[in-house]
Amino acid sequence: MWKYDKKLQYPINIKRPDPRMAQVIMTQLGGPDGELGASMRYLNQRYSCPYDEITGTLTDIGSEVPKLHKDPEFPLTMRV
Amino acid sequence: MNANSRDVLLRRIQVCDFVLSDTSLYLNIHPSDQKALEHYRKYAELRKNAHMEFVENYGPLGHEDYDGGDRWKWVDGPWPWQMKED
Repeated sequence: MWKYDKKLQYPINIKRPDPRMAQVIMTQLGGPDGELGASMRYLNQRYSCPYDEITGTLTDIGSEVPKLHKDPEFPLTMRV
Repeated sequence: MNANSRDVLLRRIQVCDFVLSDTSLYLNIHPSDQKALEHYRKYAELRKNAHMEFVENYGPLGHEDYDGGDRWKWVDGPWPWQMKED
């Protein structure tokens, strides 16, 4: 279950809006071979993981990207 | 100390979370509805107490529940898919 906090994970200040860069970032994040797909693989792999330490880590890193998607940082990149 | 079982406390937290998230959707479009706010406060308090009792007796539900002790119990099972629910 994801939880959302109304704050940035990291401060951001876009000085030069760059639509092409925004496209690349969006694809890398949500595209066919992107971070979101990788995070879903982590969350599925943990079900067959024999070590609790690794299960916890797969849970944590699999949760990072969905959290990032809910981060105001992400839409800001697209706000060109 | 009353000894609520793990299942009972977890279910109480789940019920509260459902009520809170549903109420929060209503509050998004009725931010000053006092009855709804009272409803939210009531279940937030219930959840807080259930959560505190759960964490004390059965370990952390999240990183932020670290007890300050000598082990990072977050990695210790069982995981949700390893519990049998009735």
